[in-house]
Amino acid sequence: MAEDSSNLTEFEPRAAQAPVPISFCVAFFVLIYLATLYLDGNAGGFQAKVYEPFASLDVLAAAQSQKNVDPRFEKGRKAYAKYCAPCHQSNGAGSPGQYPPLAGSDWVNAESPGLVLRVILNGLTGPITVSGVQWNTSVQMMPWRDTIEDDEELASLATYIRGQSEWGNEADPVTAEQVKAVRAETVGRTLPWTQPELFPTPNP
Amino acid sequence: MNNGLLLFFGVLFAMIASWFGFVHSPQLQLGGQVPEQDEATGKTFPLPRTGAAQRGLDVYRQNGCVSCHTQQVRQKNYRFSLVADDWGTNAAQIGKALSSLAGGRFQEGSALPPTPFRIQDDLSLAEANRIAGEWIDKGASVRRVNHPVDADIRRGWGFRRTVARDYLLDQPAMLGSRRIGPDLSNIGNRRPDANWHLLHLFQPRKVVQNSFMPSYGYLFEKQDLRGGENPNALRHKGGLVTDDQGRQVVPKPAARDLAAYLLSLRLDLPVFEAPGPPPQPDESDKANSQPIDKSQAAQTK
Repeated sequence: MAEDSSNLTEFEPRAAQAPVPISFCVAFFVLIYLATLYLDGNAGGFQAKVYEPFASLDVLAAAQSQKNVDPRFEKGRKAYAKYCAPCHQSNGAGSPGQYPPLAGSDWVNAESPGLVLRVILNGLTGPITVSGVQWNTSVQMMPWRDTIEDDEELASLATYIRGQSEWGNEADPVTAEQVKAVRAETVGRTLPWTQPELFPTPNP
Repeated sequence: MNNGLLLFFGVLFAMIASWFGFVHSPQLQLGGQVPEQDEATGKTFPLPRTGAAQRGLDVYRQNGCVSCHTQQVRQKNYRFSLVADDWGTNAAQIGKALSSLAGGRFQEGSALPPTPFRIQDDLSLAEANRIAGEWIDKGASVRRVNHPVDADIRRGWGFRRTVARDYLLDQPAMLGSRRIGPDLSNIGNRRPDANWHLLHLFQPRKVVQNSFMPSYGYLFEKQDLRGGENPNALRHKGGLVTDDQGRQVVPKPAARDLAAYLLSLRLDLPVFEAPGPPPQPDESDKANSQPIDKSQAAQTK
């Protein structure tokens, strides 16, 4: 504002309005943009659980400590997903009226693995009782003797089914030797099993 | 005043914006946290405090402990180790890879070392994942173990950083801002003996040489020995602790509550926000972490 030096006493400053220089506006928005970029990269997506040094919830989840894994159990999990899950479901619950459950089943949790190995090798047909529930299913379980040729794979599959604690199963693991023995015992059989042959006295 | 209305709304806007920024949005972000059950250990975290420890929080507050002690462990980074759980069936290739490791811990041709075996330490996350992939390709089963690292962790003040969930049950949270004394987030793990804490409150120099913590003598009652020895009286190295007039020193309830509170300050569990390996259980710790009672106070340490 211009000053009139000859008339200083009468000069009263007043606030006037002037446009903000355009360069300030540009600089301000560039600053806002850079700050947003920084926030985006370092704020962890504003998730309450994400702390330094993790950049996002996904990175944090990927960096969690890994638990001890049983390689045979994991192999069995893969085999289950491939051969069994289409009918018995990935949670082992089966399908009402058609495929009996494996989760918590008295067949699967039997003390000796022979029962479940025989069923896997030759299949199963006819009315059966699983954990006290009658299944009058017309579906016949298919035999896997020729499909799963590797004894170790079959053993890890049976280990997985019997030991899957998420399903409530806690039977002992199965070894390849046990599979080999059962396979040799039942080598000539082509028909699927029925309940009276295998499990005449199921638990009530 | 010129532009009074503009000034009023300008100030109002600044206040509202900072309220949203500093109060409302942190509440939206962190306010909904609840204690959660840890899948691996089955414990709910944070662990609820016992009655004495809960009262001890108030004693901690009354005595201004927060002026000199923080309860926040900083941690800015992680390093990762690789641990093999199973070597698989490809012994020849595994042996070759093992023998090429730094340090010469394994000679090619000898039997594979027992598992779990720590293959490599001090890796970044990307390196750990890449090297783990190489071992898995060879048929081994390997996993990654997290190691939180930073100055506070090196000082032994905790094995992981503190996160918002650690303070859920603290009312108010005693975060502190000055470290005239050490950080206390994990003091219950570091000093698991209630008698040590009582001695330290009564006369810090007795247990920590060169400590400049003030004595909290008024939390203790001095009793004449003519009335017989009190089983709760402080003892140090087998001998009865006495004040300058030869009287025995018995902790008041406030001192016991404060010691119980200090023992409840533990960062024992890894949490999802700050993953790490659970600390190795130490039998000697277990024997010392009994709740404070008469037998404990009477024990000589």
